[in-house]
This record gives sequence, structure tokens and C-alpha cells, in this order.
Amino acid sequence: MTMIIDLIGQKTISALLYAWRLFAFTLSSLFSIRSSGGSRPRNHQRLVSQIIFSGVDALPTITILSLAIAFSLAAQFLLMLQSLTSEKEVIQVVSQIIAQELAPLLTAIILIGRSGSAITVDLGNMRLHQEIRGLELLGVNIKEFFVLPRILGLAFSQFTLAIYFSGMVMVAGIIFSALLDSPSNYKYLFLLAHSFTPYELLIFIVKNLLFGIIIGAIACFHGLRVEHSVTELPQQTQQAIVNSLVLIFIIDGLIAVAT
Amino acid sequence: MNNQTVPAILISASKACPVSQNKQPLASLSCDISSGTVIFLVGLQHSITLPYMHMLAGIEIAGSGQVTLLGNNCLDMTSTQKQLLRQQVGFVMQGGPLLSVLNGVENLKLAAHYHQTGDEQFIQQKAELLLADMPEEFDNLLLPTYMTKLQRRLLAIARPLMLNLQILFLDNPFEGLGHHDKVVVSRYISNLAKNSSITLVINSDDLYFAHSHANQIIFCDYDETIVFNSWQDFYDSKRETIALLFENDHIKTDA
Repeated sequence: MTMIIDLIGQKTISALLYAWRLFAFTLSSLFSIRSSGGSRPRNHQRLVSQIIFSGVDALPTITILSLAIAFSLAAQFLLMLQSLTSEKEVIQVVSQIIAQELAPLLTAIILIGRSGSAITVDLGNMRLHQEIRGLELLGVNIKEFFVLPRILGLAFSQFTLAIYFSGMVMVAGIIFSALLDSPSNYKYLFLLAHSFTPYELLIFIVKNLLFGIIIGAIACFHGLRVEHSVTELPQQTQQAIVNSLVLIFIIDGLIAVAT
Repeated sequence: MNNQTVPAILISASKACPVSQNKQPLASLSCDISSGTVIFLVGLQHSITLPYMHMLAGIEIAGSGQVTLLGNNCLDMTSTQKQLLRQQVGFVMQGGPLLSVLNGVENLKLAAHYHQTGDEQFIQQKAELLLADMPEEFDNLLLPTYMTKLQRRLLAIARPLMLNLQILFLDNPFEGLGHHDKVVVSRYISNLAKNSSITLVINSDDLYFAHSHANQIIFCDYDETIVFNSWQDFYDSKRETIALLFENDHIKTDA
């Protein structure tokens, strides 16, 4: 029994320590521009490259996924709910589920699998081959040079991809429901614009930016934890993916409870 | 070195003890390194000389004693100050790793861009000059992985030269190179020593190169460090550990 309590205590302490280190790492990375004397022109190039890789290049995947969700969930919800409640409530419920919950989560999952893992492997490889150490010895602030553009790039990508995802799912869902049921369902397209309150929009923005920052920070944090051995690389990548998923779901739950 | 002017002391170590990789304290070192000189760190093991190199370069702080680097006490420097100091104190690691995602010329220009040492035209011109000074021509638009070891090594040595360096530390610059490549890198470093005012601190077991270029030789062992102010002093030393260095080298017959 004591052993079990010991184990739970150790796991809790290590989880709290991990969360604290990650928080400190994220904050110091976000403020790295200030500590190294202001923004540099090339920072923007790295940020744009990250947005292209994480955001623009992810568009085909997000499009296919959103169309699938539109057909399998959004259209079905609309068809089921419209016989139970008013038009206004139908679109509110569907937009709540799709835009506020499903879109941020699914976009985050895609980003974790696609960009988060790539960032961890990329940085981990650079650590293994001493490339990062070489740059540090040239006076380059690693957090500013490598971490900050990745975190900001992922935050922006998560935010824009979630908007794109929600929009696609809602619009395509309404179109699918109209094709499956009745053309009168196109009326939901006009109701869509009024289905969000400013407060909900604010939550949507904060949640997605937070998700992006978390995914980017965890990916970089684990990538830079690789020290000497190639075997550390898959371990850190796996930890980055799992921890990102866990944290995203926990935060999503907390936000849902708080709002 | 100009004999008429008193050279400035760039690095001063006073009873400074570095800490080895396995956290063992090493013997203390006291020395002054002047501008425009070539200093050699030699020892029986790279794992002994490297902590001294790191300590003198301000990368690691001394376990005890004091190291002053370009007038700054290494112990008191903040991380920002250390970062700024790297613009004047270059350090090329063993193996000379380059950033794999950038091509040769971009690798060369990276530090200058980061520290904004000039506008794009100035940086490009400086990079071209450095590339022209290299003893071997190569396609510098290739990624490092498609370059030869020699090309990568030359670029790694040239990379910090894009900054306004006063001191350049080279850790084992000939490591893993074949005879021809070693000769080419030697020639490049020799030219650097002759044609620039940069102080070179080289950690290498190449005694022939030390014999030709070193103004000062610092011998590092577990229990002692000795500073020799000339090759002859070093060569004439009767110490067993130093004699061991010569056993595996042809320098004894050459000297």
C-alpha cells in the first residue's frame, strides 16, 4: 500500500515539475526577443516558413477531414435536431459542438501529428549533431532563433486552421443536409453568422491560440531535451505527442467547465 | 606580432580550475593570452584539454579561481553578456557542425545576419571574401550533407570570422581528416594566423603544427598545467607526460 502511495506521489511530483518546466520554457521563449535585444528581420522569415509548413501545407488534410466531418456529423446533426427544436437552436447547438469543441480539438490533433512531431524530430536531430550547440557558440539565442518562430507559427496556424475547419464543416454540413433532405435547409447558411456571441468568439480565439502555443512549446521542449543518443529521439517524439494530446484535452475540459 | 607595442592581454586566468565532464576538479591554470598570438593547448587526452578550452573561452565557468575574458570576469557575466561576447570570441567545436537546413553560404552568413553586423550587401561581400580566401573552391550553395568533410570543416572555421572576432578557439580542427585534408586545413589556419590580428587558441594533438605556429603552449594534465612560452621550452621539458606526447609523433626527429 505504501509503495502505491509512494508511486502516486512520485508521479504527481514529476508531472508538476514537468508542467512547471514547460511553463518556464514557454514564457522564456516567448520573451526571448526582449532578452536578446529586439526583433531581427530574419525572425519574420522563419515565422513565415513555419506558418507555410504548419498552416498552408496542412490545408489539404484539414479540407478532407472537414468534408468528412461535415457529411458524417454536421449534416446528420442538422437533420436530427431540426425535427426536435427551433431553427435558431439547431444552428446554435451544431455551431457550439463543431466550432467551439470539435474544430479546435481536431485541428490540434492534426497539428500535433503533423507539425509537432516534425518539430521534435527536427530539433532533436540538430541537438544530436551538435548543430544547435554550434549556433549557441556563435552567440545565437536558441529560443529566439528556433523556438519562438515555431511556437508563434503553430499558434497562428492552429487559429487560422480552426477557423477554416469550422467554416468548412458548417457550410459543407448545411449543403449536404440540403442535398440529402430539402433545399430549404440552405436557410441555415444565413443563420450561421448570428450563431456566435462575441464572448464565444473570444473563447474560440483564446482557446486556439493557447492550443497552438502548447503544441509548439511541447514539441520544442522535447526536441531540445535530446542529448547524446539517437534512441532519445523516438522517446522524446512519443512523449511530445502524448503530452500534447493530454494537455490539450485537459485544457479543453477546463475551458469548457470555466465557460 | 608587433614588437614595438605592448600586446593587450585578452584572456587572463589566475589559479583557475575547470571542472571536467565527470565533475572532477582539474589542476589550476594561470596564464595570460595576448592579442595576435597563437596558443596551443596540448594534453594526453582531449577530455582533459577541452574543459580548459571551455573555461578560457568563457563557455564554462571555473570551479575556482578567476578568468578574465576581454576585460570581463567570466564569473560575473550574465547570459546576455555571454551571448554578446560570442561576437568577439569565436569557438569552433570539434567536427565543426554546420546547420543542416542551410546551404554553405547561408551557414556562413547566418551569424552575421543574426547579429546584424551590416546590411545584406556588406554581409554578402564579406562572405564572398572569406570564400575566396579558402584554399579550396567548392559549390557553396550545397547543403552541408552534400559537401566533403574538408569543405564542411573550412566553412565551420570561416563561419565565426563573419563576426568582429578578437579571439578564435578551434577545438581539434584536424580531427577525422585525412592527410591531404589536414594539410589544406593547416594551410588555412596558418594564413589566418599570419594575415589577421585574431588570437588563435587551438586544442590539438598535432605537434607539428604547434611547432610551426605556437607562440605559447599550454600543457594540461590531470594534476598539473604548465605554460611554455616557446616551442623550445616545451620540447626541452624533461617531464614524462610530455615525453609521452612525442612518442606517437614524428616531431621529435623533425624538431
